[in-house]
Amino acid sequence: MTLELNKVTPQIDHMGHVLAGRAAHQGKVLPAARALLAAFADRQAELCLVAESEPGQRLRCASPGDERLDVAYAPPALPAEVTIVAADGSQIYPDRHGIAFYYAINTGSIVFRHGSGQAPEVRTEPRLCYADDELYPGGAPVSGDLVSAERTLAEMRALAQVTLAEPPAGPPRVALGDGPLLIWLQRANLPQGRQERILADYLDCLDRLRLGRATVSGFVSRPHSAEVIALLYLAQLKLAARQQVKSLAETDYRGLTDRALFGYLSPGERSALFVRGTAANLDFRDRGHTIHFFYLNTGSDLARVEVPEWVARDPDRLGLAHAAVYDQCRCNNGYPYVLTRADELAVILGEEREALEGMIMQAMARHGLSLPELSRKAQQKQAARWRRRR
Amino acid sequence: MEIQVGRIIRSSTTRFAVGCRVLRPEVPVFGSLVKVPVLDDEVYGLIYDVCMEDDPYVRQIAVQEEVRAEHIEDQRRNRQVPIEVGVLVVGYRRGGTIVHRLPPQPPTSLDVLYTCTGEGLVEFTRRFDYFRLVLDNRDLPADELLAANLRYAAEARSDGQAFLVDAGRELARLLNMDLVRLDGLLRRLRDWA
Amino acid sequence: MQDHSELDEFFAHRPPAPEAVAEVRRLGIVVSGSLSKGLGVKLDRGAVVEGMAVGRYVVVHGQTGRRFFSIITDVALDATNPALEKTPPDTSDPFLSQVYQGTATFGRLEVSPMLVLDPSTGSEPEAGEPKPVKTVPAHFSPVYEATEEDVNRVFGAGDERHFYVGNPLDMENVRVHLNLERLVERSSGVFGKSGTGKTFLTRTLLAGIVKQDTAVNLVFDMHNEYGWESQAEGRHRVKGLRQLFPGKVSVMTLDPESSRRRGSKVDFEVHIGYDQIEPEDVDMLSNLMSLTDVQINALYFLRRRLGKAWIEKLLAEGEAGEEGGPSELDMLLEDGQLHGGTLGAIQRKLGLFRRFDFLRPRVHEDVVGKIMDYLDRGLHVILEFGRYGSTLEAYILVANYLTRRIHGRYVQRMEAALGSRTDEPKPLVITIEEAHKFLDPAIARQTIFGTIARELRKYNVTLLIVDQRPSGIDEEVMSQIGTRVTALLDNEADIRAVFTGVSGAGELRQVLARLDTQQQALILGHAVPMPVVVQTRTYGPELYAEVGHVEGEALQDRLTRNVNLLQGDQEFEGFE
Repeated sequence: MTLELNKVTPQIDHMGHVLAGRAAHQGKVLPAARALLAAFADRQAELCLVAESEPGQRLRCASPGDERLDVAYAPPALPAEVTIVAADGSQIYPDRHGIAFYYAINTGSIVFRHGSGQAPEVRTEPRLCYADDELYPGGAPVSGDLVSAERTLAEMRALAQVTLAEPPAGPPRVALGDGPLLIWLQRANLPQGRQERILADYLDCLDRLRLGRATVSGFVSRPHSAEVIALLYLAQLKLAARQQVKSLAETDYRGLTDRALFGYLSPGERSALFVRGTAANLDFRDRGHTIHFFYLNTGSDLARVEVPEWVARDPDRLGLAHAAVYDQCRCNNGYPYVLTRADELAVILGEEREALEGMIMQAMARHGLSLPELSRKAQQKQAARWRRRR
Repeated sequence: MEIQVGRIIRSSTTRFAVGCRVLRPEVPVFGSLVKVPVLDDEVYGLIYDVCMEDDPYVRQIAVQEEVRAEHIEDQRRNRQVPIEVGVLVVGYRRGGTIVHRLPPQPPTSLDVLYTCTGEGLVEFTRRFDYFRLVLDNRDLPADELLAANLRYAAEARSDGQAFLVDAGRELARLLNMDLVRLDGLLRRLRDWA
Repeated sequence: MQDHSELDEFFAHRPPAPEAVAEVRRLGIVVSGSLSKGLGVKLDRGAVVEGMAVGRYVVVHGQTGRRFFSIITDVALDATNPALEKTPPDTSDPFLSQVYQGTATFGRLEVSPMLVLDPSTGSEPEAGEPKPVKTVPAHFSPVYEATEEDVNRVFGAGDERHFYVGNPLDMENVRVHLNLERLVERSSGVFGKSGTGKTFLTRTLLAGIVKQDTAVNLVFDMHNEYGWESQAEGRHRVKGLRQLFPGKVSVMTLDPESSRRRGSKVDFEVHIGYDQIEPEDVDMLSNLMSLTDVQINALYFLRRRLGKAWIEKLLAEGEAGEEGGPSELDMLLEDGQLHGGTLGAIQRKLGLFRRFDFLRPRVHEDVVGKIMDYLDRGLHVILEFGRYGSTLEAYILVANYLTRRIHGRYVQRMEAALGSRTDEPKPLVITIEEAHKFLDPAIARQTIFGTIARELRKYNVTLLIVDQRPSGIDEEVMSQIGTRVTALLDNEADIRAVFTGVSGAGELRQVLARLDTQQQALILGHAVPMPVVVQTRTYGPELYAEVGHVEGEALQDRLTRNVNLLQGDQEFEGFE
C-alpha cells in the first residue's frame, strides 16, 4: 500500500468542490445548448456549411443528416428472429522484460440467435506473434500502438467472417463491434505503409459486409465526444467569431458532451443521425463507408451507435440496428449482452497469461534455451509463479 | 451400465473434484457411488457435492426483470463450465478385492469418473466398513450422504429392506455415543425403508 | 436326467457341512465376569431375551477348545449408552426397533460356569469327564444353548451306574442321570414341603437302586407307600416296589391286618419281644414321651436290676398291682434306690407299649437276623408300619431298634472283612421318613442315625432321609448329606438348611424358590456333577417298563407271541 490516503484527503475535498462547480455550470449551459438544438432543428443545410468550414473542421464538428435534429426516434419492432454477431479482442503487449519477446491477440466472437431459444455459439481465436516480421516490422521493435491496431483489425475480421458465415437467406444479421466503427490510426507510431495496409484491410471487411447485405454497427459506451455541441456552438456564433475559437474548452460549453445534450431521450429512443466530424472519416467516405452515428438511450445510459453510410441511408437496416442494439441492452443493464460475452471470451486473464508463459518457458527449455537467457526480471517473476504453483 | 460422469480436475487422497459439462438426469447424483480406474486399481467414492460457481455476471442476470431463454442457455452451456462434482473417497479395489480404506494413490487429473450401479454397487456395499470414512467428515452433510447412498444400495437389491436394517445396526454400533445423530440418520433410512 | 447329475456334482463339490455345532443356537458372547461372580454374556441380536430362563444350561466354547458348562443365573436388559434409557427411541416404528434391538439395546445374561468339558480326545476314557471349573473362558467366547450331547456328557448316559431321574427344564429330550454308586456312597436326602412329591421322588430313587443293584435297601415305610400299590394324589394307583421287582423286594409288616386290607403281599410279620428292647431303644423316645433325664437314668438302672425282662416286669407291675408279695420293684423303692414318683411316671409312660401289638412279651424269631438274612441275599426289605405309621413313637422305636442292631452287625462284618478278607457286606441304604425327629440337634449326636450320617460309608451303611422340615435336622448331620434332592421349599430356614455346606448357594436359592409345586426338583451334591433342576420323570408305566416290569395285558401279548414263536422257527423271546 503506497497510496497514502491521508495525504490525498485535502485534494479529494477540493476535487469534490470543483466537480460540483462544473456540474452547476453545465446545468446552466445545458438548457442553452438544447435551445440551440431546437433552433437549428431543421436548418441542416446551414449546419452542413458550418461543419465543412475551416473552424468546423478544426473543432471536428459533426454534420447533420436529413432528419429533424430535436426529435426522439422510437425503436421499430425487432423481427421475431434476428442473428446478432459480436466480436471483441484482447492482447498481450510485447514486453522487453518478459520471458520472451512476443505478443498475442485473442479474439472472441458470439453468434446470438435472438428468438430461437438456443444457446449462442461462441468461439475464440488466439494468435501468438513471434516471427521476425511481426516483432520487427520495418526494422524497429513492434509498438503497443501497432498491436492495438492489429487487434482492432482482428476484431473487424472476426466480425465480418462470423457474420458472413451466417446464411443470407436466414434471419437478418446484425454485426456489432465493441467501440467506434471509425478507427483512427496514428501514422507516426506505425511503421512505413503499415497504417495504409491496416486501414485498407479494415475497409475491405466493411466492403464485404455491405456486399453480403449484413447490418453493421459499433457500440460506444459512455461517449465523451461533443461533436454536436461543437457544431451548435459554432453555428450560433457570428462568422468572424467562429474563426477565433481554437477549442471548445475555451468556451462556456467546455465539459458539455453530446451525451448530456441528448439526455432527454427516453429508453429505447435514438437521436437524429449525424456524420462523424473526424478527418479520418474521409478515408471511409472515399470507400462509401462514411460513418454516421446516433445517440441511444439504452435503458440506463446514453450510448453512441455508429453505422456506415449504407446502413444510415437504408431505413430498414438503420431501424434493425437501432432495435437490435436496444434489445441487447434492455436485458443486460444497458449494455449489449453479446458485447459482454464477446469481451469475456476474448479477455486474457492474468492466470491464463501465466499458464501461457509457463508453456512457452517449457518449450524454450525443450529447445535448448537455458535460463540465463531470460531476463533477470523475468526470472524473479518466474520464481514467484513457481511458488504459487506448488 | 456405466455412465461417464466427467474428468478429474483436482484430486487428493481423501477427496477429489470432477468437472462435467451439463447436468443430466442420471448424473451427477448426490450420494451415488462412483469409481475411477487408476492404473490397475479402481478408486471408489461418493458424490457429496455438485457445485455451480457463481460470478458477478450471473448474479446480475439473475436479478434482471426479464431473462431471455438465449441468455439462460448461454450461461448454462457456454459459461458455467465445468460443473464441479465433489467426490469423497471411500475405498478402492486392488485385484479382485474391494477395500474400504483410503487408496495408496489418488486418481490423477483428467482421469475419467464413471457411475457405479447395479452389481458394482451391491458388491461394494456388501460390507459397511466405509461408513466411518463417510461419518467422520463433519464438514460435509455426511449423514445425508450416507443415507442417500444406502437408499441406492437398497434399491439395487431384491432384499433392500433387510439390507437397510443391517446397515442401521452397523450405524447403531458406530454412533452409540451420539444417539441424537443416530436417531436422525435412522429416520432418514426409515423414510425410505 | 441331466439336471440331476449336474446338481449332484454341484453338491458333491461343496465343503462338508460344518458339523452339528452350526445348528446349535448361539446365544451371545462372554463380555465380562470372574470365576467367583460368574460371567456376563451379551446376547446376540437373534436371541430373544424373553426366551431365556434362569436355571437353563448354556455352554461357553472357550479359546482352548474347552467347553464351560454353565447355568443361567440372571437375565437382564442393557444398553450401550445409558442415555438410551432416559430417551428411548421411537420403537413404535418397526424399522427403528428392528435396528435398535441387539445393537444399542441388548439382553444380558449372568451365567455361572459349573464344569469344564475338555475336548474329547477319544484315546483316554477319562477325557470326556466333566471337571470342576478353575478358570473362566476368554473374552468374546461364544455362548451356545447346551445341546443334548453336552447335557448328556455332564449328567451321564443311562448306563449301569446312572439312572434317569428327569429332564432339565425346557429340554424334554435330554435326560439327567444320577450316579447311583455315588448316591449310596454317602447319606442323601429328599426334601420338600408336603404335597411336592417327595414320596414319588424317593420311590423313583429306590427303584433305581433296586434296578441297578447298587445297594440293598431297608425302608421304614411309615405310610405304606413303597411296598405295594398305593393311591396317588391323582387317584390313580401306582405300583409299589415289590410289584415292580417281584422276587427282589421283600415286604415285612408290623400290622398284618392293615397289609391284608390293602392286598399287600407280606413275607414276614415283625414281632419284637419286650426282652429284646434295651434302654437305648427307649432313650430315642425321650422327647416324644417326655422322659426326664432322671427317668432315663432310671431306665438304665432298672434294666441292670431287673434283667432282660425289665419291661415286662415294669408293665406287669403297673397292671397287676399287689398280687404276689413284694416284687423286685418294691424292694428297690424300699432301698431308696428308686423314687416312687419316678417309677410311677416310667410305668405310666411305658404303658404305651401295651398298645403296640407287634410287641410281645417273648418272641422266638430273631427279626434282626431275619432282615440281615434277606439283605445278605440281596433282597430289599420294606417294613410297613400299617396303622402304627401314625404313631410316631412306634415308628421311632422300631426304626431305632432295628437300625441299631443291623448297623451293629454291619460294623462287625466290615471289621471281620478287614481282618480276614471275607466279603464286605453289600452296601445298605436305610430310608427313614420324618427324619428330623431322629436327627434333631438335641439327640442327633447320640442316636444311631446321627452316627451313620457322620460315619459316611465307613461301614457300608448310609441313610436316605425323607423330610419336609430340613431346618429341624442337626446342622452337622445336614452337612454330611452327600446328595440332596429338593422339591419346592418355601420356608426360609428350610431353604437355608438345604444349602448347608454348599458353595455358591446364593443363585441356587433363587432357583429353588421358583420351582413348580409338582414334579420339579433341584438336585445337588455327590451324585450329580453340578446342581441341576429337573422336571422329574413320571413314576408310571414308562418307568415300570424301564425297570423291567411287564404289565398284565402286555404280558399276555408277550405270552401269545412267545407261544407263536415256539411253534414257529423264530427264537424264543423270553419273559424278562
